[in-house]
Amino acid sequence: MSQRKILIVDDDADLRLGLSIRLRASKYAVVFAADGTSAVAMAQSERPDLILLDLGLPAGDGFHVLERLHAIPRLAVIPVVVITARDAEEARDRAFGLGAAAFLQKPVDNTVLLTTLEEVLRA
Amino acid sequence: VTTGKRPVILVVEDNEVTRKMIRVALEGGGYSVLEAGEGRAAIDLASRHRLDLVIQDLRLPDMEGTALVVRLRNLPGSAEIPILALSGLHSEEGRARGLYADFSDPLQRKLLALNLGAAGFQVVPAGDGAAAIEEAKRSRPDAVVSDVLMPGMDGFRLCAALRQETALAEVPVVLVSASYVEEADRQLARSMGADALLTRTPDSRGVVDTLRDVLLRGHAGRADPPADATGAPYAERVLLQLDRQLQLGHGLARRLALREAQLAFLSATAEVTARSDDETQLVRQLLERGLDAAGLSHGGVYLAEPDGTLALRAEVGGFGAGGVALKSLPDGRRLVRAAFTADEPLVIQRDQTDSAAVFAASNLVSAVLTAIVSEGSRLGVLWMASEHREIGEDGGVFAKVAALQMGAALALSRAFTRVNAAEAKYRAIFEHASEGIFRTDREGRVVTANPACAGLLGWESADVLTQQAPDLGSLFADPLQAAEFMRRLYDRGSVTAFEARLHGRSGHARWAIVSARALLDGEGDTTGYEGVLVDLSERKRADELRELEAARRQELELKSRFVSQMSHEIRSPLAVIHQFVSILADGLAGDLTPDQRQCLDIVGRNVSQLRGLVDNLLESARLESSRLTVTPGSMDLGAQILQAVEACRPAARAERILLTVSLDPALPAVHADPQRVTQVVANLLDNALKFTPAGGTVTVHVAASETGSVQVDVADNGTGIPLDEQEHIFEHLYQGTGAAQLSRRGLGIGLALCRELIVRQGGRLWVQSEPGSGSTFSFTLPTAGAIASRAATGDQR
Repeated sequence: MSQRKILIVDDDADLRLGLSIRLRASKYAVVFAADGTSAVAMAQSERPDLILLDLGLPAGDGFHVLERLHAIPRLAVIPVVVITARDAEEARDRAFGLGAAAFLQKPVDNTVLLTTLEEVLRA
Repeated sequence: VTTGKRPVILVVEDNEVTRKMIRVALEGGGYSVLEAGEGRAAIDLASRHRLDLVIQDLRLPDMEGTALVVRLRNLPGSAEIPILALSGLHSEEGRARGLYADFSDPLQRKLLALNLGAAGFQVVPAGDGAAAIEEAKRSRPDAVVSDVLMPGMDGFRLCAALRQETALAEVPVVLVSASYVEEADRQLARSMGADALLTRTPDSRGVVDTLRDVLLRGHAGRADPPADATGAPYAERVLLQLDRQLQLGHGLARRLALREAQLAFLSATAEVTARSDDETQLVRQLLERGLDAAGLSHGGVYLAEPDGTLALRAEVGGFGAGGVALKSLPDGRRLVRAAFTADEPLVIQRDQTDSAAVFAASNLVSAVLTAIVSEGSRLGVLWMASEHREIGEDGGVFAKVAALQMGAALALSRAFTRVNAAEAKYRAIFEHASEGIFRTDREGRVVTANPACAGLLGWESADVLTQQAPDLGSLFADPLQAAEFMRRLYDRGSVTAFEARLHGRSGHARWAIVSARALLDGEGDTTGYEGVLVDLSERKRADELRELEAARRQELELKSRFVSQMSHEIRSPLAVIHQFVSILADGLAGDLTPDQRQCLDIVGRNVSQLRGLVDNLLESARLESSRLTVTPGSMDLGAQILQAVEACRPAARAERILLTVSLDPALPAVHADPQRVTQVVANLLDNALKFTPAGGTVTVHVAASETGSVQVDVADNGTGIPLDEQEHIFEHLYQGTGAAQLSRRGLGIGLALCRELIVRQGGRLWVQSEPGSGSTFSFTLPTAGAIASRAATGDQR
């Protein structure tokens, strides 16, 4: 089976790097976006198998990205795992309401992260 | 000698009602009336006025009636004024004296004298026959006018006696009588030497004409010597007249008694009405006075409710033998009802066949029943009865007057009662109002105030306040507010809802709403001001508390938002650190030496701890700003605890700590929020593992405890907590003596949060610890059953 591609959307370059190392080690292909607008553009052009989406983003926050992805049928099918440093209680419900497949709180345990990605991709 | 003016009568009577009655009666009869309420005033009037008659009460407030008679008699020129004594009539003694008082004669004599004077004659009065002879001998009158019926020597004998006197034998004598009016009497008069016997008329016109006539002609003289005053015709006429007088006198006495009784009852009514505040008492007293005035021993009053049922019964003596009530006698009710609807008094006698039934069981012989009426509405029935005599028309008239008077008295009394009740009601409102109510005089000084007003202004009582009568303006703490208020009050006449700080007496100021308006008299002039104070202090204090609470909430909200923001800011770099540590640790960036790995483990552990700290911080902030939600329901506590324990097993194993659980197999379901319970248990376990050295034990024990709750104990055999720190560990961000150690291990926030969560679910959380031998953290949660039964019994705890 072909290598699955994950779009990492996070404005924190350090975390993008860290996550990419982690995901590549687990045999994922990784592409990046650093803000909301480019996240949607990358999703269009790269057609990732999964999007790992931070919520606190410049140029359209994570919720906005979720809305826009949801509005485009071709993109709406791509599962999104939200990963955020925000207060989980409020953000989780809203993210799920906008179609997120999973919700992770930063900093996330790697085992939990990888397990979640596997589960979402399998579903 | 006379002025031709109307006769002047002085009425001396202390009861004003009676006095007015007499005045009205006399003025109606053409007399001019002077009034005195007491003896001294009477003497004063008599000394200044020419009086023709005095009618006086025998009982006066300042002197005895008899003493007044003496004093009046001794006044210069007053010796001859006839005095009619009128008793108060309440006592038998007074009645007797009143009846003995010579009513008709002096009055008639005086009237005659007045009329003769008016006709141009000079009149010399004399009291009786003997006095007339003496006076005639002295003053040698041109004619003698005499009444026939006189005590001692009567007119006929006076006439005969005058004829015996040589000097007076030719003096014309005119006899006047209301009694000797027959032809036989006129013959007897002529035989006695009289020139004429005239029937008395009020205007004395006949006397005047006859006098003029005889004086013009001179004494007619006579053929025969005067008849013997002891002769048969004289004796016959006098005996006849005596008999007639007895009858006449009886009728007169009766009429007089009736008038007297009416007057007595009137004055008694006024007296009783003013004194009595109880209707039962009033009715009884009126009844007694009425019976007293009528000279009757038995009587009663039945008052009806508006629906016609009996409202009140008062009886004196009862109608039946042995004091049996009228209504209880055969036919009694019918009679009362008949009288109630009748317009005229109902007079019944024992010997009447239609009233035989009611008299059958009674000692009474005669009775009168009449409706008590006031302003057209029938209030009840008055009855009066006699054991001895027949009650006639007079009795009926008296009963009717008495019933009318009673009706008026009752109406008056009821009106008084209503007014009193209304007054009491308004006074109570005034006294107990929570608003301050005040009234000022024209100058704006507070002269009336209720207790609330005094209390609001810090005065010890309303009396003290009104005695000091402070200026309305001085009540304001702020002179500018005072000026503004007074200006508005003067300009517009009223001020509504003026919010001001009032200057209390003891220096304390109070916020109040002040409203006031000017009081105007008929001319539109201000006579004062009245107003209301509503205490605003409580409201202000509540407002302040609300503001404080809102500020506190805002502060908490800010803090919570700040903490939330901070957590976010900390978490992001933490996530980066965590990721790279794990990348290094997992060898994704190349192999590590054992030393490097050890270093990385330490970094990793502290990152985890920092993460926990941030989580707790966030929860804690949420808790304070009440954003942390607890949604309890019936849950399986055992399952949640096992789950939490299992989650800790790897950590325990790593530290070589023995982690055991003992669960009561028959554990009831508890009423709690599973997520929050797990949070608490995880937190307590986390702490226990941290503070227990390697090789130690941590035990979780869950069992039903006190009735209606389940207790969870998390015990360790670790370092323990000093006694003086045991409560502080539940404070937020506690920094105790072991602060470095504790905070490094993240204890402070966790326990405060745990306790708050348990309390919010209706339980308790506490610690028992001994330094060196470990700690036991325990909490309770209510069972689902206990909550259900509490809800069922409505216990809102």
